Amino acid sequence: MTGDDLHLDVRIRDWVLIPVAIVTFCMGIMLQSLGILVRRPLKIHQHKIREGATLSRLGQFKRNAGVLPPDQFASRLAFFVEGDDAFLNQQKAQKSLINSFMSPDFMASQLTESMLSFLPQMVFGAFIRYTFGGFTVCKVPFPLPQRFGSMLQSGIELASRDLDVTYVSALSWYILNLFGYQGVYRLVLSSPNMTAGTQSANSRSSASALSGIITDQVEMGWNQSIQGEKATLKKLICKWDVPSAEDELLQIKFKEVYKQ
Amino acid sequence: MSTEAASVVLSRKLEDGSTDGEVLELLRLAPLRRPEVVLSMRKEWRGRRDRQKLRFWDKLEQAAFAALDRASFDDMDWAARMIFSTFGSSWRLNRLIGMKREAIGDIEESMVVYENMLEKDPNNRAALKRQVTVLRTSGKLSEATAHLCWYLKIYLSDVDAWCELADLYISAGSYPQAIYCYNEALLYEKSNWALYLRLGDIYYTLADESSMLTARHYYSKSLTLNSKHNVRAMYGLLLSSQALESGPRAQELKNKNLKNWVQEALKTVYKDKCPSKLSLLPLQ
Repeated sequence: MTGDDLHLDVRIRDWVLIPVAIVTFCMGIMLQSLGILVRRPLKIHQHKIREGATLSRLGQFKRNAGVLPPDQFASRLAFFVEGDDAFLNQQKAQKSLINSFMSPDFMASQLTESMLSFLPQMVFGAFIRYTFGGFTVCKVPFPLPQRFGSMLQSGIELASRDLDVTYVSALSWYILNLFGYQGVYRLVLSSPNMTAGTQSANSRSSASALSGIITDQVEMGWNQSIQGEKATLKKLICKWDVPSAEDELLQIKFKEVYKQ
Repeated sequence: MSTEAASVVLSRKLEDGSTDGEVLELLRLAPLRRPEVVLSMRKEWRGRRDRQKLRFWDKLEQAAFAALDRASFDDMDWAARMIFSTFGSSWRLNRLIGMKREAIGDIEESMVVYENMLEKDPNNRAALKRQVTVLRTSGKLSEATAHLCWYLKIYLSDVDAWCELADLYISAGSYPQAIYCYNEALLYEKSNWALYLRLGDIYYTLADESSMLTARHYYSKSLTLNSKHNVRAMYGLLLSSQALESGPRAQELKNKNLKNWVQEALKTVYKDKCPSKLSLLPLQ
């Protein structure tokens, strides 16, 4: 050690460096498990599901109207366009994507999630800042440019910023750990318990959450697009194609088909 | 994949020594119900080897359903315990539990299980549909119909549910409603020969002149989509064209042609499959 070097006490390693690393790790694990407990699936309103399904029905109706005999065709056409409460005659309030992200359900779920991840981290960060403020816990074994100072030495306020950048403060050590553990968590928690459990419980709900947002997007352009839809439906003529199957059938040489 | 095609693939796989895992996967994806095959592959779903993999749990759930089919409740309980100890409570586990209650005949209890599932998640389609089957099994047909109608008001793109509702209506004798349901299903699966066959059957049952003609249309459509393995539609076409012969359409050429076509077809099939019963064919 040259005379310029700071001497780091071994006890700092034993009582600050290692404990902070361990506690941060354990906190991360706890937060992950807590997140699984607290997370609620996003609520999807049934009218939204219905709307999405009706839209898909409308698409199928336009595409495959030929399978319907005239009376069935007429009753479905009526469902879409006839009368004030027909599907395509409903007026919808204009919605925007911001609206769907601002919905109370979505906000609440976002809030709990961010509360869970940030609040404990901030509290613990404040604790470290308070307890170990000004500690220099380790030294990076390679030279670093001056700009890293703000990243590695938060919490150390020296009048003259002339401490070598390679020294790491306690608070910075904690923050480095916080982000550095992400990959480790992924390794440690990748038992079927964690990944599969959350998948099977949430994949459906997240999928339906997505579909909710998609129908919202459809609603955004609703008033513009229904005019177009109505026009296409008006042009749609009923042409039942089932009876023509008889002629088709008579063309089939059954014996040849059967032998194949 | 149709049921016939799937069962051909299955028997081929069973013979040529495919791994059990492959067979189970086929059974999971194809419309086949072979609980005895699933249960015989105990190593795949009782083994310790790959419990870390997600696929293992798919197989275990599959085995649990198969065990319910075969009433081997020990296996089912074991599977449910395994699933619970790994994933905790979930709607898929609860569905299994409810279905076990159904299997042992504890109908009311199973209804409670499904209601609890719906309390947690009112949009749980599995629970909603199980409730319909429970109601149907316990003979409350009108309640089951009402339930399913309500379900289809929301999930109106569910083809299986439309078919089930049609079936319920048929058992109640409400043929117009059943026709509506099958037409709805057709909007989504317009190449499904079985749906046309069903519609043909309904119109044939209605039995007036125009319905008989419609039935003939539908049977023909069903036969164009699947002419090889469709003897039911052949009989339908034969009987409907025979019935039309006695009406005002007696002289129609197309009716005659269709009748001749289907008689030939039936004869070919009978000569090939069971020559001894050829004489039983209602040919005129």
